[in-house]
Amino acid sequence: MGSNKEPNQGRKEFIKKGLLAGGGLLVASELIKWKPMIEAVKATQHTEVLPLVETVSTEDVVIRMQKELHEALKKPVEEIHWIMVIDQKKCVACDACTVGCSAENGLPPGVVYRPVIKEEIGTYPNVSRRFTPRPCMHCENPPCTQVCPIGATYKRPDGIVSIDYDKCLGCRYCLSACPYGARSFDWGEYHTENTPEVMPYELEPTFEYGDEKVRKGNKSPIGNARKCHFCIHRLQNGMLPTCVTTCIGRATYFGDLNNPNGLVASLIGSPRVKRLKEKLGTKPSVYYLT
Amino acid sequence: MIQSNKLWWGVFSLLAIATFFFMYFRINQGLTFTNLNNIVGWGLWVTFYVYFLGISVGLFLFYGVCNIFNIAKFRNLALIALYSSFITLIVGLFFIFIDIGHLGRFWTVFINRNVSSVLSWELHLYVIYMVTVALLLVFENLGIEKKYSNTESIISTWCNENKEKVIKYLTYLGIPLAIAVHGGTGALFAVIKARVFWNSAIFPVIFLISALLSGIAAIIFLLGCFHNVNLKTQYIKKLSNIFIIVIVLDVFVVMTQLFVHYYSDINESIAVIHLLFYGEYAKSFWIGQIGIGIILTLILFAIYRMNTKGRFWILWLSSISCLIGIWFIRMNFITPTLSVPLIEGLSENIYGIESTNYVPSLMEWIYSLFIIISGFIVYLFGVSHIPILKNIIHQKTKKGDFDEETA
Amino acid sequence: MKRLYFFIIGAFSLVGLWAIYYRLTEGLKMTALTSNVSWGLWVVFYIFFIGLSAGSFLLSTMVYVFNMKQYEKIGKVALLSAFFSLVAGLMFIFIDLGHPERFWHALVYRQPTSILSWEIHFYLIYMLIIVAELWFLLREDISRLVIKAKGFKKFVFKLVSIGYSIPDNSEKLERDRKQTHKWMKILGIIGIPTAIGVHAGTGSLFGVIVAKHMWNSGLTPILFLVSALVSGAALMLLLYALLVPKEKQDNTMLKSLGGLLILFIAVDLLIVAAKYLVGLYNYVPDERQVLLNMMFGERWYIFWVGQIMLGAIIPILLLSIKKGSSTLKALAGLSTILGIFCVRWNLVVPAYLESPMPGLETAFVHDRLLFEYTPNLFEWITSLGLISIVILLFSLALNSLPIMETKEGKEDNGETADGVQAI
Repeated sequence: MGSNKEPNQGRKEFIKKGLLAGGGLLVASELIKWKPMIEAVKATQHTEVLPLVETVSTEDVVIRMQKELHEALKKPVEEIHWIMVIDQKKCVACDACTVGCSAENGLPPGVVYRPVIKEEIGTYPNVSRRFTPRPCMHCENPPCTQVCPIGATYKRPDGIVSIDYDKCLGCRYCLSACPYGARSFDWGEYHTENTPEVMPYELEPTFEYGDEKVRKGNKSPIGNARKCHFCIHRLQNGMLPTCVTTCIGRATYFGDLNNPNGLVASLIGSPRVKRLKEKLGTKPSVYYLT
Repeated sequence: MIQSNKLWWGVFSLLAIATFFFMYFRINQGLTFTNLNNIVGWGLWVTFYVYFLGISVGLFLFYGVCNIFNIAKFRNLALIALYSSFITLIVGLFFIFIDIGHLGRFWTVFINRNVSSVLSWELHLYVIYMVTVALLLVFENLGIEKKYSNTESIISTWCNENKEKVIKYLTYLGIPLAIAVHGGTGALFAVIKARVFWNSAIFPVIFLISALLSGIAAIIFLLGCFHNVNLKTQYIKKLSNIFIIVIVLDVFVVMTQLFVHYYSDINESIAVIHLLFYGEYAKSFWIGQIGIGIILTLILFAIYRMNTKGRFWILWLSSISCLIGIWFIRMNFITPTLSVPLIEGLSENIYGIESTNYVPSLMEWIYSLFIIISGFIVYLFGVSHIPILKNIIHQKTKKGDFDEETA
Repeated sequence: MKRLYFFIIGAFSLVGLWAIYYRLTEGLKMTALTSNVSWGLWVVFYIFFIGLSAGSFLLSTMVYVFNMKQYEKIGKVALLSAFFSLVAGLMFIFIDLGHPERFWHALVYRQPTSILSWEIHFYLIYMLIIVAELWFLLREDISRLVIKAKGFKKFVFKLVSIGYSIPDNSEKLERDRKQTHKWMKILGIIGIPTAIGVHAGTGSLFGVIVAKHMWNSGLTPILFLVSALVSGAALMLLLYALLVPKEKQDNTMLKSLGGLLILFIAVDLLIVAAKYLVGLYNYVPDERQVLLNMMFGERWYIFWVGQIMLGAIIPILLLSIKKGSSTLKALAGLSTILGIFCVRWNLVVPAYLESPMPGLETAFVHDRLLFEYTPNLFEWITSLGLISIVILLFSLALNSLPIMETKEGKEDNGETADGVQAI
């Protein structure tokens, strides 16, 4: 019986070997075919990435605004038009701008340049909150400069409404005339007043408008009208206003409207843009993105 | 004046036929022949309505003041003022009658009231005011013509006996009523918050002062027309003193309102002021209101005063120019405000940009002229037939009544 | 009696002087004002006194320009009170400034678009006119007093008379009197538009402010003027009925002055009715809410008790009593003056109590940022003290100068002293 099996076994063995050889040939041929491709891939170790479109910036908006500020400051002052844009969708009402501004300008009790209005809209359960930081609007048609009997408050060529601290009488007519309630009066109080002593940090000089002033006795800015001035003293040194740099939501933008490639000029074109109390014809320089 | 009955019958029949045709045309065509549109909805006829109401109230206040303080020297003038006040009131109300969309429904205002509507209150006050003036006219006429005293009914005897008292109390009622009537006409406009130029409490005050001015000017005008009413020069001078004071007051108040709006610089008010100063209504403002109403009036008045002979006709001309100027004040108040768009771009999108420009059409002028002429004819009729006025026209001047030239 | 009066007024004046000193050294933080209610009691007093001054002056022009002889007796006191009220008003604004020492800036640095700037210049011209009129009016009497007085008084009188001395012969006296007459008329004619400009201007200070809708109307200047006339007429009534002894009072003049006051009050009521009815008709939040607060809010009594009762109803009732004594008329005048003070308060303060932007009142809560205001004790003391100082000066002037005199030849000081004694 052993001799019947041997020819079958032999045929199976032969087919197996044949298949193996064929398979090996196939793989080898493929390998041979692929080799140049593998060589080519190995050769291009780097990936071909297209450059990003130039209008898409990868830097922080504050850095961009800083760069544009430096560009704007090179121009003569009458060619600049400072505006501020506040994105209400991004504001989280953290009050950092309020506090930062108070710290920067050494504001005493009762003087707040930039409070943040917090409103609840709708009735429960369909409620949301809306936040409106309110700096001075630096109107193009300011009702406050119109009424000052001395001309102590005036509009600069670059659009900022300033107060001459040495001329101001303290009659508070401008406070009554501002439709946004943006002006405050310095009553001469100190934060640490009724404590054992007034702390030395309250008597440190402040540098609003580039002038060094110490709040003591009867001297300005005590007895004056005061308001947000877009941090002129910082702008003059190439720094953005404090509220812009300190905003954690990057909700406040500042720049020169006369620069068509600037950040603020592009933001103004949004359909979300509005200004407060437009009907009064004051033409504010602070825009809101609702 | 003209007593011939036949003449009056003829005139009134002609008037009736003309009225029939005018009203037929108006009811048939509606308001399409006017230049009013959905932007400027109030135009010439509303201006005339406010204007004539002002004259009526001013004349009535003159009568009332003369009556209460028993100023005898102006008595005849006061009676003429009362009658003129009545006729101008009717004329004014007629202007509003043809201005409403549904003429036939005018009576529904007394059925369907709206407590919150100033116009609703006003219309009721007009009726009460009209009745008061009419009653005063009737009572003033009692006992003048003897033939009426034959009827011995209780009412007529009572009326004749208490004539003075009734007139006094009606006048006491009438003066605050007249003030409410025309102050209310001003308030009609003042409460509209949609129109910033109108929305100010100063307008009841401006309307009342303009009414006073219209009244004084109308008195001087009537004094010139009724030649038989002779007043001594010093009384005419007193009238002219009051005239100039009220002119100054009116100019002051109107200019204050314009100044405050100009300074405040709110968009819509500035738009109106631009229209008035430089825009389509500039002629109406500078030539009409300022030129004729203020400058010409003051020049004529100054000529009258500086001239030692005091020629009355110059004062008369000055009163006419003042009356024309007041008409322009009313016109410049109503229409330019309506020409300013409520929402930017609204009127252009629907009607085309020319629609904000309103110039009264020829037919509006014809209708206005017709109403005024009809009013004038009725006025003349009354002057010829109402006893007290007949007496004034026909009175002979007594000796010693005046010692110098009067007119 | 007189001594007691002067003692009390003098004491109050000393308190006033101390209060002003304290204010100048400690600053405005002694007041209850906030950045949002920046004008308070002192500004209310300022417009009250300026109004009183303009009203009194316009009444004096009735005598000196329009030759209404029946009011001749109050002509001098009208001018004198116009002067002192003006001084009081300007002093109130002086202490209200943040930097009082810089008040002169207003005359050096001008701003043509600011009504306040114009007003300050107008006040000066107006004051010059009043002082000139007073000098012309009183120069004859003062020069007589110079002769009679001794020592310090003589020095003061000589200073005030600026060297004018009564001429010897009657011809020159007549000529001087004619000159006085002429100048009074000229100054009066210049003075009328000045006084109207002064007070209608003070009103338009408020009227042009877009930020406060309740103020922003052409009616505000008119309202100020009419309130000024009311307060002026009331003051004349009060002073005349109070100071002139009863036997010497001219009852017909009092009656017609009372009638004039009723007329002015009626016009004032008409304007107030227009303002409230038109303002309440529409729901414009700034205006309607403010008016509702004034009528039915926390301080409702200032409108109803002050403006309506004291300012209108009580005076009209008192003055309509046919055989009313002069004391009643004096009371009517006093009541009207208190009422007009309430009118001035309601013109100024309520407009500040509504926040210009919704939510601003809770954005940053602090004493100095509140939208509420109640004058504190210090403000009241300063106000009363300042008023006492002015009343003291006014009484001294009334005492030394023959103001309430009409007859010639009766210049002795004893006469007017008796007049003051009638209190």
